Amino acid sequence: MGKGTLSYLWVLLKLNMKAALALRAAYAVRTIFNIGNHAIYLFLWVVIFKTIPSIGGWRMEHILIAYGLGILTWGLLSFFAAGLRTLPRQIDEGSLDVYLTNPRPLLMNIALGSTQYAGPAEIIFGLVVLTIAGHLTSVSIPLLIFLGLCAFIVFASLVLAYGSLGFWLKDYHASAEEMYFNFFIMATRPEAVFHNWMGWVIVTIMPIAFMTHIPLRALIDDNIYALGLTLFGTTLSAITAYAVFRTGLKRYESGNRFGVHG
Amino acid sequence: MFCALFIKMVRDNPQKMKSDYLKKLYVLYVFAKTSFDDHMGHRLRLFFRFVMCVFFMFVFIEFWRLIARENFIDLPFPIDDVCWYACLTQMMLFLSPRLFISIDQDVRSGDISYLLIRPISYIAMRVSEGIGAMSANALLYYTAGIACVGFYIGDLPSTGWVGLGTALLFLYLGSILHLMYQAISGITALWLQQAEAFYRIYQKILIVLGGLYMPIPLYPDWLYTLSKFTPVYVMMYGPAQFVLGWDNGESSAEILGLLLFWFAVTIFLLGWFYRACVSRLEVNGG
Amino acid sequence: MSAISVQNLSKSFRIKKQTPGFSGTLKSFFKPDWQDVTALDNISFSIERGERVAFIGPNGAGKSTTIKILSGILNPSQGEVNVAGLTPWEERQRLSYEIGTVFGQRSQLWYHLPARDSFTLLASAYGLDKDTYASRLSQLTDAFDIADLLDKPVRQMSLGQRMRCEVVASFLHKPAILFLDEPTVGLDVSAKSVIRDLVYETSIEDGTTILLTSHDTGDMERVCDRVILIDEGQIVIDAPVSKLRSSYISRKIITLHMSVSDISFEMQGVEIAEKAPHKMVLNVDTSQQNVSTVIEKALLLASMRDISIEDPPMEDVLRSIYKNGQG
Repeated sequence: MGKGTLSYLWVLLKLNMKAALALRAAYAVRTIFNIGNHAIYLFLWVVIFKTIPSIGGWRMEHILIAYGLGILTWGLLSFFAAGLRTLPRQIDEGSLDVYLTNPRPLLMNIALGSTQYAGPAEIIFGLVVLTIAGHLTSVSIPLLIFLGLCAFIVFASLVLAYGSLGFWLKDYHASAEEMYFNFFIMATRPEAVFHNWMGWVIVTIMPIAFMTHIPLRALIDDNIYALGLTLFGTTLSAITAYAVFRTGLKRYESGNRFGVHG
Repeated sequence: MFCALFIKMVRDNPQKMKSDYLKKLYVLYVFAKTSFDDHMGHRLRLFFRFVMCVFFMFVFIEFWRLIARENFIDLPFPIDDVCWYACLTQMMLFLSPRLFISIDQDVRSGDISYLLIRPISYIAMRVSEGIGAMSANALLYYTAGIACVGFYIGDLPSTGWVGLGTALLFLYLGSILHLMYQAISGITALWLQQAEAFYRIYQKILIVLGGLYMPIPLYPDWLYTLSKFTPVYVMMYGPAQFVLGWDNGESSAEILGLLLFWFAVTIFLLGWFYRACVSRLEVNGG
Repeated sequence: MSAISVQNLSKSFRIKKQTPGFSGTLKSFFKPDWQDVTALDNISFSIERGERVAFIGPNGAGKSTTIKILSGILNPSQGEVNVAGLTPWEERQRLSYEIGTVFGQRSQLWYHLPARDSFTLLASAYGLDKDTYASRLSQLTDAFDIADLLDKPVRQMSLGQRMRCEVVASFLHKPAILFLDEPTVGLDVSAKSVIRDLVYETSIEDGTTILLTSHDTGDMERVCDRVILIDEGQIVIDAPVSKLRSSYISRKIITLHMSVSDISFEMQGVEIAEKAPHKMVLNVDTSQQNVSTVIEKALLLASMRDISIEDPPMEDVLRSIYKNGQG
């Protein structure tokens, strides 16, 4: 990434923040709603663990770490790469045309080229939940934050890969949003649920294991092997997602995605 | 049969329709049918979403099998019934399209200004389209989906085909109610510039008080009581409870009554909220 | 070397056919019908530096497809293309520094922010240093008269104002070639005129090569020197704009303002297009009848207050060409 690209990235981030704050009242209300949304979900797990004391060895503190990682990644995605979430819509509307004639990296423009409406509040909320979880489990906070960044890359890769299916599937935006939400929810399920063939699914075509389950092992069990596996999985997820995106882009470039006429 | 005859009569003799109300109902049917055809036309998307739903249902089944194996609690229902329950509640979320996103898009793009001036109510039109899309999903999920679940669990629920059929029927009706709440979420875009924030809160309420993760009788008493007074009760738990045995909750007549009550309340709420939000509409000119 | 060179360019798409009715829907679900559509059929042309070319044709002719291939957005099915010495789909990033684009139905401006912010972003994208950007923006602000718009959020602008800003955005990095895809769509008459004049003048000053697609013949006549007409994926005409009327239509319109209220006018090759008290409009087929002969006869029938002779509107020229296929 050249110096010019870094300065372009900085300008993009500034513009995003400015655009989001252009409608301050709406931004504030959305922030409150988003935090309320996450708080309700945590409350649900409190209820579940009051009834069932342990699920596959996971207790409330495990859920807090998993969910904290999840909220943090959701917040980071909303702030740094929200455009990836809307990739299917951008494909449908032909919005990539404008980015394809821009000299800067295509993915950067897609990810940050439109206004972000959330992010900072969820990042802070996620860090708070992780800090509480870290305090409860005495794990290393810096390691927790580092694994949070890895989880962000894995989740962003998932969003990119599944969003890129919009190059093949029309009117896919709403279904894609549903997928992302479900990936996020699945990542907070106890690891023991995903055994046999499901275990393979969550490390291959839906690598949510690298978001929460394996990092959790690295954190709580001080498992260096799990840390290595997390880094490996993060890298592989990113490479695979990029490959899917490039393959889909060829289809956009072939015009068969949406039949250009005129 | 009566619906099919009515539709044929209206299609063949539109001039004989004296009642405006019936004419509007027919128009809404046309919107629903168009949406159904459109949804069926995107078969790759339909199939992909179906595969995801089936996978998530299997995850729920394994979730409950794990809990049953660990034996920390005495489940008041057979484990297979709980698995069926979990699948039906999960299916409910996938049955209906993301209507709030369509409405949100209409508002953000400004297309809503054209759609508002049609002779038919915009919100009724969108809900009808949602029902059409939902019917396309139901065609697939109620056949192939139920077959997959049955195969994975290995048995029918203890209430058999009658219980399952009753659950599926009420799930469909509950999903229509869910569509209306999605519509309410969607039109908050007129107020908040984005519908997602409101929808996520509603969705969490649905998940918690509707009993997605756990049958509501397992909740603390106060939460169970609270749930019964919300519309989400008849969207999710109300229909799905018919696979948990015939003595666990309301009868079909009671569920139907509750559905009708919440339909009436929701239609009133939707209409009032819609009018309030439309009055805030700002669409920039050319 | 030409600015743009296209050799034997072809492009096809595959679309799904929909069958009506419920049974058709179910049939399409299990066994869909696919159809190949040819958007471009072996077209060739070249454009020299500084030329301003209009690329016109009816809906579905292949105009937007061509522009998208030339700007690197689409890959062709076959053929060779060279834009500013580069193959667009293979060297898209390098090419983007040489070209600017204005898509009438897409925007590169940020909706909730003032136009200035979008310009700053684009300046960063194209690597313009601070002084170059400031001087270029100042020059374009004066030329396009957008001083009042720089700090106005784009969502508060009229369409005409927004399009002026879009064109400024595309000129900011002084591209060698500018592609404009329906730039005046939806604009009123005066806004169109402003955009056309500004694009023309700026391209003269900067030496920018222009390729413009439009349904509006005014865009073609005001901005461009040359027109390429495409229909059903094939080039039908490639000629200077000035020659289009004379080569492809043999008609003149004569308007007579008479001192008497009405005259009876019959002549072979002459059709009365409009009749009103003291006024008559005649369509003259110049292949059958001489204009001077028609006027001589009119003067014999009545004294005239005024006579005007005009070429038919360009829309009529094009309509005639579309109707006849090749003119």
